[in-house]
Formats: sequence, C-alpha cells, structure tokens
Amino acid sequence: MRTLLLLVVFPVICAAQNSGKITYSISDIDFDNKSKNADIETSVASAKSQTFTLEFSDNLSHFFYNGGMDSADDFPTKLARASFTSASDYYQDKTKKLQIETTSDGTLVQKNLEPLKWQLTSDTKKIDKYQCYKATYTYTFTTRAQKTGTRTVVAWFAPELPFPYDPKAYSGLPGLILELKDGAATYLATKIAISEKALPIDWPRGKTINEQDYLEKINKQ
Amino acid sequence: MPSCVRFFLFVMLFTTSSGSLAQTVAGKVMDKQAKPLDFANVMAIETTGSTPPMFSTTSADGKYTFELDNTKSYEIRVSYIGFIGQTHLLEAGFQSMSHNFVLESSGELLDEIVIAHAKPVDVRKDTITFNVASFANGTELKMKEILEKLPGVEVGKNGTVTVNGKTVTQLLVEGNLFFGGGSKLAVENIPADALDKIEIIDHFSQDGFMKQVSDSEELALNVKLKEDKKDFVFGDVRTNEKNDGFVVGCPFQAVLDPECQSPPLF
Repeated sequence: MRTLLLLVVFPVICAAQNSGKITYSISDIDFDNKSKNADIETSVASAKSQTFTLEFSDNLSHFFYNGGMDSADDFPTKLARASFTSASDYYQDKTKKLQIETTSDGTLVQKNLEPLKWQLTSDTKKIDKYQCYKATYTYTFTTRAQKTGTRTVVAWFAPELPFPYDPKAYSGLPGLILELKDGAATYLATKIAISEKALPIDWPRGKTINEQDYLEKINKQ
Repeated sequence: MPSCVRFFLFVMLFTTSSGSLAQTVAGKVMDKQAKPLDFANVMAIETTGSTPPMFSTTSADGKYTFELDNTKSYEIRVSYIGFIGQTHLLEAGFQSMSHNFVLESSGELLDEIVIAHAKPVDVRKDTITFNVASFANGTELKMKEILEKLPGVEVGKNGTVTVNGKTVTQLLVEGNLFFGGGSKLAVENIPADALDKIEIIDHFSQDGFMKQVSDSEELALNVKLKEDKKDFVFGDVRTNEKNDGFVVGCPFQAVLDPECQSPPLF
C-alpha cells in the first residue's frame, strides 16, 4: 500500500517545479537617431517600455510580447518590434527538438532546434546575487540586397538558475539568460514566477513552412 | 604472456602516461531513485578562471561528457531546478574517468524570484552616477582603467580627468577631498576593485547649503567605495627581475581610512 502511495505522489513532485513564467524587460535601445525622425523617436520610446514573457512547461516553451491585441495596430509599437525588439513569437519543444516561429504576418516557420554554438568567455559579473558568465554567439545573415553580414549576440547567463529555456530563438546555454544584447535591444530578466501546476502551452497548429523556404519567399517579395 | 595482452599493456602504458592529452570525463546525472535527469546543466569550470568554462547538457538518459585538458584543474558543477547542486573537483593530472551525480531534492518549492538589475548610469540634476560593476570586467587594476571605460570620461596622460570635455577640478573620496583634490594621485593609485560608484557632480560646492545659490564652475568626481573596501592600502610594490632580495621602487604607500582624513575646513 505504501509503495502504491509513493508511486502516486512521486510524479506530482517531479512535475511541480517544471513550469513557470519569466518576464523580460527592455532596458536599453542602442540606436543613435541622427535624423531626429519623430516616428523613430517614438518607436525607440515604445521599444524601451516593451516587456516579453517566456513561458515554460515540461520541455515546451513560448516566448511572446506582452502587448495584447489592442496595441497590435499601433504603428510605433509595430515599428519598434520589427526594428528593435521581436516581431515574432517563438515556440520551442526540447524533446522533439523543434521550434516554430509565428511571424507578424501569421506564418508558422518551423526549424530544428539545435543547441547554438555559443562562445563562452571567462568574463563574469554579478547580476543581483547570481554569478553570470558572458557568452557570445555570432551568426551570418543575408540582406534583401543579397549582401552578407555578421551579427554578435551577447548573453549573460546564470548557471545557478538552471532553467533550460531561452528567450527568442536562442537555445543551449547552461543557465537562464539574465541579460541579452541582441541587435539594438538589451533584454533583462526581471522576474521568474514558478508555478506548481503545469501551464498549458498551445503549440501552434496549422500549415508550417521551413526556414529556408520562408527566407526565399521573403526575398522574392 | 600472450603477445596480444602484452601489446595491450604496452598501449595502456602509453595512453595512461601521456602528459597533457585531453581526457574524457563523462557520467550520468540522476535523482535518488536513479531516474536520469535530462537537460541538467553540467559545467566544467577551470579553477583559475583563465580559460572560459565549458558546458554540457544532459541527454534524455542523463548523460554528460567533456573533453578536458588534464594539465589544469576543474570544478564540475551540476545544477537542476528543484535539486541541490553538486560540485566535483578534478585535480590536475586526472585521467579519463566516469563520475555520476546523484542529486538530492532541495525540498523547497521556489515560488517567485525577482532579479534586481543595477542601473548602469543614473542622471539626477547635476549629478551623473556610474555603477562601476556595469562597466568593469574585473581585470582592471587601478581607478584609471575603470574611468577610461565610462562613457564620456577620459583620462589624460598627466592624470587629468575630463567628463564630456570638461576637466574635473575636485577629486573626492566618500565626499572628502582626496589629498588636496588633485586627480592624478587618485586615478593612478586607488585600486579598481574598491570602487562601487563614481559620481560626477557639476556646479560643485563644498557647502551643501550654498549649492542652491552659488554658481560654481567646479566639476567634482566623487568616488564611492565598496562597504568592505572603505580603508585600503594603496601604492605599488615592485621587485626587480633578479629578485635578489631588494624591493625596488616603492614610490608611494598609503592607507586610506575615511575617518582619519581631515574634515573639511570651515
């Protein structure tokens, strides 16, 4: 009888600490608005006030903008998300090793989720009471004009917070990213709420397109 | 002895005695019920911190693996949410090995963690405050190297400090003039790791009460020290290369204790 009871209780304890929500705020937009364009000015301000959530539950995660529907038509917010922060939502499945990006036009872009080739450095700093290590990731991209460029992303992660989930389309660091410099935007993890119940994550359903085809489609437009 | 065994021993001799070959350190991470923990974080941190750490994430069956240089020592650290982390020390000279980690549940249920990020720069009226930790990477020795990393701050060859092109005229430590307020002595001697915050105060006046009415042209730089570094020994001790017992060039040694500094004159 006792073993039976244990068997019933045990899976509950296991699942208990595996879901939650991490809030990311934008602390800085590193953009020199030389032209003093008023639209850009307001979108920089909008970007700075944006927050994002990384929701996770049992090896699934969902990264999304905390805006709600009402602000979807607001032009400076859209511009800010497209040019400075994140215009897409990202779903990741750690067990199936899949990622789906839902772009602003509603397309579901699917790709294999591989741990990225982060370059760890020996630079460390303390964020709050957590010892963080600096990691960089450099990738190449092709612009619409068929030019290639490289961009480096800088992440400060805390091994003491071993959540295996990452913001945006990143993956593979041994600890939660507390600070992320991605393009012009600096994201800071400000709050981690851990829930005892599994959170339902609605994996997007519908027709998906792979990343290669999507980039080709975009470039044709 | 059959020749194949002899050959095997011969090979063993070479593989085990070879000096700095990369060694494989692998194992499993599991809980007390021997259930493998997947996506556990395993880090190999070189103990001197001079080479970047390496990491491995456990597979579905809880396995991790590292290729490590055995001329160095490492700490293998394992962490998993809801479990107590563990560290295994590898002393230099280790051989390829297997080490399993059996983690114990931390018993405590985490609820909410709020992470406070220090603001790198804070501008208030005439004062700009730089939070040193946001700019330093830990390799700086003297205050000068920190100042050079702050935006808009420059240090001249003769130790003069300029902020956005304007020269600092008063140098204070914890609000008191530092040896007469000259900046050269301070920037070249105050150890970088003692600094907590740097304040740049425009239109500075020693008398707080007069500040509202005076139109001072003074630009002050106030150094705020870390709580545990409030009194420090500074200056350099250098030995010559031969190290034949002489301590050469000890140009300046002083102990700073804010309480012993002369109070401002009235």
